[in-house]
Amino acid sequence: MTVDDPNADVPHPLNGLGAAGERSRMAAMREELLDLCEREYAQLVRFVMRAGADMDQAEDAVQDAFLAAWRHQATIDAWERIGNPAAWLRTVALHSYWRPAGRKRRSHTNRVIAETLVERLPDAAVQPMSVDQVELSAQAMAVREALLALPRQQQILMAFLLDGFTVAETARELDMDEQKARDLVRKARRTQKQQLSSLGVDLRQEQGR
Amino acid sequence: MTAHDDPYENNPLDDEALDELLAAADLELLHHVQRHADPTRVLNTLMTVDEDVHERDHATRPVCDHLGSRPSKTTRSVNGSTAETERVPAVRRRRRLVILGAAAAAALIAATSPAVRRLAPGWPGDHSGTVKVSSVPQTILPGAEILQATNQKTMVTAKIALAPKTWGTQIAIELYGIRGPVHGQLIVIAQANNAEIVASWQVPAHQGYGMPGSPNPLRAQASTVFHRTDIDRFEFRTTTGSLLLNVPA
Repeated sequence: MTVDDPNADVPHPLNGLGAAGERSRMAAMREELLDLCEREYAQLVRFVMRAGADMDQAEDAVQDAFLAAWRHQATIDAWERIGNPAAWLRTVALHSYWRPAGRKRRSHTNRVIAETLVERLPDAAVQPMSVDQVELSAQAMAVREALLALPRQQQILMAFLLDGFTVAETARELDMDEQKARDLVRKARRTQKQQLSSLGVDLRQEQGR
Repeated sequence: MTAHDDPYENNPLDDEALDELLAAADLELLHHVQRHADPTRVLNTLMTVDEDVHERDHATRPVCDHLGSRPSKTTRSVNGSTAETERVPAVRRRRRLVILGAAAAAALIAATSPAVRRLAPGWPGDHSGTVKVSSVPQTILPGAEILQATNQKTMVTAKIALAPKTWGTQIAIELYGIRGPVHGQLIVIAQANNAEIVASWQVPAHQGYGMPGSPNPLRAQASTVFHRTDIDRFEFRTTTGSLLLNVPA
């Protein structure tokens, strides 16, 4: 048995180690990123879906965001400069989703088949139902559609707020004037109150209001 | 779009009703995602990405250019490379460090044949007066070399099993006297001052391992690229840098 101690004051082995220390720093950051991925993956996928993506597209976008995060970690100080990693990942995932179709890394096989089928139909009247459409309640679909009907800035602001970010945090992340963000949120909510009023009737009836 | 055709037919929602509706729909969407989406692919990709092949100039784009109607070219470029190009041979992969909870460790040990289990004599006893160590210490590395040490200040005791491999060294640890809240790391220090973090773990407040009331040790497995003969020592530290225990190799 080795009894330890006089080493209590030895300098941290990861300080000033050059290349090896850098590798260790990155290993620690990667652990942090993996934890973040495990913790927030579903929320991030949902976030991108709020912007209109189906689940496959959203998962691709989230993967892109995590890879971009890892690239940031490989650059000295780049990751540390990101004030709000959770918000940053959302923004990068959105940008990935918005990439024009020709630049998409790959399409999910099912989507390719579905798209091919639709192209062969005489008109596009029959759209294949996605798993999202099949499983979500009419209410959830209506809310999602109402969000999608908003102008993009309002849509994204609302998506951030739904994930628990404050208006100030969101405005900072989107590089937007905070007052402008507040005005847009007000506008978005006004529109949604109108659009979803029929659901509100149902809601009130359900609750016996 | 429901209700969009004639928005004035119904009274608009009030704030409370809107929030309720949004929250309910959003929760439903989250459950839907949790049922179908799987982070494994992303985790695997992240675990196999090799930092050495990263192009450093990829990362310099401002996070959010603007929210215009179309994404800009700079926006797109950051996502240009693919996971596939960044995959590396298995030997170079750094395995995700699997922190085993007591249950998972027990399952693993149960799965290990008795013939390959090794009982290590001299496993620390009740020298601290507080740490009750297992009377039947087990390691999941067959034929492994066992190191053990205790820091009399922190009362942390570790047992480290080492198995030399062609790709480096496989490591299994058992930690006693760990009291939460603590976020710890195992650092391997090799000769020539090379070091790497090979495991990390988190113990919440009011929990512990190898302590009165919670006698099971914290068990974890790890691996390092360093060969056994190159390893100088192991250090258990908190993520803030405090030394919990030093184990000369």
